[in-house]
Amino acid sequence: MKKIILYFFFLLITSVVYGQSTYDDNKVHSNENLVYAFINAKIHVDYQIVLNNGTLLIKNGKVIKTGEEVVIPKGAVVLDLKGKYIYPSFIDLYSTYGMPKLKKGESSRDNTVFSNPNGKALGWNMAVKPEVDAIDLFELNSDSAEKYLENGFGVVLSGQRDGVVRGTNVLVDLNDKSANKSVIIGKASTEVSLYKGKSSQTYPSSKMGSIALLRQTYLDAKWYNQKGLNYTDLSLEVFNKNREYPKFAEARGYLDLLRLDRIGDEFGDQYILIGAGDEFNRIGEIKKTNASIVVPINFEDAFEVKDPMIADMVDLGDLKAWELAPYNLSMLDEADIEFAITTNGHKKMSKFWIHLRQAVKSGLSEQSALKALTYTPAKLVNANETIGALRTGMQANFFISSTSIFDKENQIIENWVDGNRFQFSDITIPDLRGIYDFKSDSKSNLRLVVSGSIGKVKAAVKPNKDSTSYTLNVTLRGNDIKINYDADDEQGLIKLVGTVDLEKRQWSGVGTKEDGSTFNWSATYKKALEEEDLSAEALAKEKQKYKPGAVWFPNKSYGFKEILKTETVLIKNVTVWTCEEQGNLEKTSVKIKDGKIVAIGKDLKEDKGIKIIDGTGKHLTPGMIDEHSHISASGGFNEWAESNSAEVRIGDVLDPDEIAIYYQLAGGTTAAQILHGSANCIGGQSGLIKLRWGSNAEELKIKDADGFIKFALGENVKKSSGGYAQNQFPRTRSGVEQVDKDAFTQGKEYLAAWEKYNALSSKEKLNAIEPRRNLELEAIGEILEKKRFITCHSYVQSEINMLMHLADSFGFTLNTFTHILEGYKVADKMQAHGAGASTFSDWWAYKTEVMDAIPYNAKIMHKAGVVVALNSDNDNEGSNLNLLASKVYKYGGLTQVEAFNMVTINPAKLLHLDHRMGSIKVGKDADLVLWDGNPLSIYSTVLKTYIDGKCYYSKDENGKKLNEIKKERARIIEKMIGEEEGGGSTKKAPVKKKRQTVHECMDIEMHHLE
Amino acid sequence: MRKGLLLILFALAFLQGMAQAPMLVPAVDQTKSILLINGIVHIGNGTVYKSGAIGFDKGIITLVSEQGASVDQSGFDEVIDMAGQHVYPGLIEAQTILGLEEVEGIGKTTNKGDYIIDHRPHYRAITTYNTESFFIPTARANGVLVMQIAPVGGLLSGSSSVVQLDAWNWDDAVIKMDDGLTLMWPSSYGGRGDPIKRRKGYDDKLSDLKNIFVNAKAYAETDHREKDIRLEAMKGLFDGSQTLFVKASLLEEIKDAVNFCKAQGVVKMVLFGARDSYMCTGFLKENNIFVMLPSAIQLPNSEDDDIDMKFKTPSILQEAGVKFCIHEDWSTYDVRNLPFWAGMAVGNGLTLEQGLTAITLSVAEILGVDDILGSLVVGKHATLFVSTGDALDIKSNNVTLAYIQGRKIDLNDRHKAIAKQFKQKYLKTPQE
Repeated sequence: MKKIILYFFFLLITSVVYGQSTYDDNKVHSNENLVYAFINAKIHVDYQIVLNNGTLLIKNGKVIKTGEEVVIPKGAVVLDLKGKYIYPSFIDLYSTYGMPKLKKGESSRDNTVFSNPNGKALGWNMAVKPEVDAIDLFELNSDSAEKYLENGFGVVLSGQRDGVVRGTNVLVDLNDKSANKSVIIGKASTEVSLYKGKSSQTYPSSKMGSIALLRQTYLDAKWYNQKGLNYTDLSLEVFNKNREYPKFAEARGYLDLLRLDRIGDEFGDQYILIGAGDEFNRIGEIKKTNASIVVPINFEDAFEVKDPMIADMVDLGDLKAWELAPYNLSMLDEADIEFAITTNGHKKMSKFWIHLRQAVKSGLSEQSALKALTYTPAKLVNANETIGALRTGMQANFFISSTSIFDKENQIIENWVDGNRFQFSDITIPDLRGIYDFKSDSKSNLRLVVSGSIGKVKAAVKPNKDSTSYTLNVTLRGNDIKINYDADDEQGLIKLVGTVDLEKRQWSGVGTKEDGSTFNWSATYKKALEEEDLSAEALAKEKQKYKPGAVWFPNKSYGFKEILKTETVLIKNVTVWTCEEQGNLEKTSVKIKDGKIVAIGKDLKEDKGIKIIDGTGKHLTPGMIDEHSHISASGGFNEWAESNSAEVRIGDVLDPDEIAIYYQLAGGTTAAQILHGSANCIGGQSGLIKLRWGSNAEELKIKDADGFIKFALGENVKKSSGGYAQNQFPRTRSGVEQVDKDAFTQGKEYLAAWEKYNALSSKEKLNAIEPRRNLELEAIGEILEKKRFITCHSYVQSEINMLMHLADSFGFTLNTFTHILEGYKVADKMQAHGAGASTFSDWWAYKTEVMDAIPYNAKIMHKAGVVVALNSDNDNEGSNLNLLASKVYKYGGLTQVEAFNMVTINPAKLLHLDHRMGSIKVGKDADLVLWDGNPLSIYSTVLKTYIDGKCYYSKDENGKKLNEIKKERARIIEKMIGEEEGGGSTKKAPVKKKRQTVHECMDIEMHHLE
Repeated sequence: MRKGLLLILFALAFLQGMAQAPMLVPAVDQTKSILLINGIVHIGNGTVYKSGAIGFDKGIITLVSEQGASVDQSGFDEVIDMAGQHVYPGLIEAQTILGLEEVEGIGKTTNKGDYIIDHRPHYRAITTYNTESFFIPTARANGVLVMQIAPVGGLLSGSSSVVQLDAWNWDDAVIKMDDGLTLMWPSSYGGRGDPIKRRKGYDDKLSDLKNIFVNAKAYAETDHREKDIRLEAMKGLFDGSQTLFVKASLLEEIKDAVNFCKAQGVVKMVLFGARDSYMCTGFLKENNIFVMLPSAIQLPNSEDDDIDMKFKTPSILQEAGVKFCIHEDWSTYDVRNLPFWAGMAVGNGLTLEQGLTAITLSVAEILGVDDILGSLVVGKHATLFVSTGDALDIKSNNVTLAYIQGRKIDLNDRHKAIAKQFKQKYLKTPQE
């Protein structure tokens, strides 16, 4: 009865798949339609179910049946796979298989390309190309298919993978006969990224520009969805349609991964994130994205660090990343994050297997590895009913391997894809590899080690365990074997001829010495190769070798091992610089609790368990605040491709791992405004951060802070120094006024359009067109509505005057003039307008527009009633803000308190944070710095820096960290040298000679955002 | 043609702008003998007299006394009471481009090195030295009174000279002409890319350098009828009349440079840059190498470095007995901050007087002018200044009086002039 049902089922399937092609073959039609039966194999039906002695029946590229007791129909081709394994073929979700090679268009740094020059009704930006469908571009390519096939892959998700907004990807199998049959899902997914790619258009020139472009595309697409627009944009049209497909987002590092997920969240898209394999840095945050991740395993080779000079120049961060990368998958798995594995990044596919096994050795379960190569990728493109397992009715994509795929001696023998058979070696040849006992008439106790590949074995004789071995020349044909070898202790060349009992792996025959005398020999299979030398001791050693260091936060020098805790502290008997009306308080105590300052006074109660710090002879100040900093932004902080880039946000690209954060903490700075650079007239939106070293990018941000935006005037924005964007308006100071005026005029109109629309009743709205949300004008509108505040890079008095007049005419006040080196010439006007100033202490004469800079500037402006802060604009100065105050004190003749206020309460005022920071006052944030002396003295150093009551820097701890850095470096370097000496593959060490992070306004990073 | 005319107009307008503040008039020679009494006298060699006296005549120190109050005042034309104020030897900046470059951002104003030729021992910094540079008065106003101007770049960058900072022209300014040559030691691992290739590049450059020195030494052994001005310019290295100032940073470069100079018969060498000098103090001492340390305010080179190492290096060298000085190598306009870089080292292990020595006597010794400069000793130049407070700390550095070779110099500068100018504006406004 059972058989009959099976038979019917069998008929059903064949009738469905019969003759599905519109092509005519140039020969007698081949309609073999044979059933193939694979018997006696260990079959992985899916990543969970294993049949120890199973049978797989397939026909016409489909699975008919898998099971341990399957009746083989008559007429079936039977392949006996005794001892061999069957796995569902793997699926790679990141591939460009069958795609034409893309070329980068012409572009030059000197001349900005402003918009898409193609003349079609497509989108304005060449990096936005949702209209590109991979299926239109796809061509069979048996050469590139082969490298996948021989490594067990059957299906890939392929696409052009270029640009910020990409089109659809195609899911194809790797058969080499017919593109028509290859396609499993024509539009399987769509994709975005933060990388401009081959576009020759100048915008975006930074990562934050890419983010703005992506966000604007979502908004444009929403606007485009309305009826009645007299406007056609095919890109937006397709973008809207594509939103139904699974959405992937490509990140080239874990920070980008988190950034992309946030963009997805904003627009209601849960992306499947294509990672870079460094997710171990922030597993906790990655878990919170709820995203599935496509992860590469192209682990870096050990660095060549035998030369101590080279070793010395490799950063600990790079060493730790190298060591932890193989643990990435097991850490993702442990955190229950869904992931698929991709071969992306592997130039040599053979490395893929080494790395996969390395990942398993590093804690990933075999089942999870298999899942990530079969089930998960299939599921992520909604194809798990068709591919990724070997259940009845599914595509018969599977490969046959000599043993378990996690065994390093494993060899893939055949790969079957969509009914096509790809043979890499002869399936009938048994695996003869292993350790043999070799005996001859004259010798015994020899070990014959047979290795190599199944079709082509190599052999070596070892007289005993520790001696060197002689390599033998082995020829195996059928079961005839010929061996030649030339051993030192024998006389000349010896020839062995014999036969091999393939079943029992028993070799025997006759040997001939050079003198013609003969002898009998035999070799008996003893054990598998892997088992060699694995004593308990060796195993333990192996395990120790693989044990990695912990992940630090951030995972580099001076990172924390644990997340910091808020402390309850009483600092006693200290000189308190309140930076409030009362000035300095001698021999006073300050209590902090729950991240706030809770008490200030002479005799504060010592609560039980409170940590007490004796402040005798020491000084306690508020954490210093840098109004103008460019640290901690990745992918460039100048979006210079347009004169107005108000849409970009530094907050989108904060890099919490930058060492400069720690340097500034060590100098007593606790908060900073991270500004857009000064390459263009209207820069971008600022990121206001506290320097919470070790936290993630979002945690750096100061919650509920007002919005700020960078403007710039003068030589930089008119591109005086040359070298880029020479065709960009403006090239004069007067031109700058026109750019700004134009922006405000447009911003005003933008606000009016929305106001008009918002005033409509909900019924009227149905027939009206909602205005397009424009991120650039939205930011300008916020300025006009006094919700966003300008910090303007400025030097000479004429332009300062101009901008104040312009602001007056649009009815708003400029918040801050930054740099403002000629502020002393117009301080009265600034005071009348209500602008603040953030200036350098003693920089001057490095270019023409700063020739008139004087160190008395801060004092003169202060005396004129302007709120004055001192800023760094440079990492060096940012770690010594107190010295800027000290210089103003020296040159200005202000009181010490007045001067020090310029790096504490005054910048807090300019940043609208003075209700929370900038002074020591009950209720304010516990952002404090303990100094060993007067903070205005060059002899004083910082002992401790607190932010929100957490001790982010301590001089004592710093010493301990330095020791840990040295130890960790030594440990990993030793491991790398061991790797190199053990014959592991190596690469040139990534040497970083000099720090590249002295960020100043005009730094234009030409990132190759491909 | 029109373009050329425009350029000239631009240049004129620019110069006019820069000339807004009047140039200071160099002081006339000392005619009256002067005695400063009751000041806190910092000799420069580590000694301090709490209430001492310094007398000088015709530009030379004639009296130094620990007992300021009881010193014999007769014989001095002018006696000034310095009670509570500090008296210091003039600070000396070494290996600076001040006077060779005006505005960093304007290429036209720079002459800090003739980059057209890599190997240019014949290039002379002194002939381009601008005694009217706007930076000079600002440096003087903080106590810097003497400098060694030196070219940069290339391999052998050219010769340096020691100058005093109050002169009508470089001829008058010079204290020691062509005192040394500057050698930019090749970088062993400079830049990015393949370290092995770079390594080879380093070896190649070293062998080039060796050829240059071997030739120069052979050339120096005799007088030649046919002169080679490059080789001629290197002669002094082999008889000790000129010092070779070698910029090398990494440990390996430092060791190679020292061994190279020994092997090539360079009589006097001084190391600057010297980032890794703290790693090889024994070696430096053994070879009697003098070291110039750069301003410490720069951040560590690598993420893994001790964040305070640059601040601590002076005290490590001090402890190990390596002769060193501190100089400003960052920019022209920061030379006025020289005393504070010494102060930074004081905050990190040096004593106050050791910090002072590092920018006075030690520099003079390293430059070979300690017979006339660097400390307040009878017979040396009366190049000294007075500050109301500790001159090494920013908050108390306040120079009220300064003499160069006994000449009382004008302490005004462009900044003070502009501040004064704009004071007029605010006198009319209610804020002042």
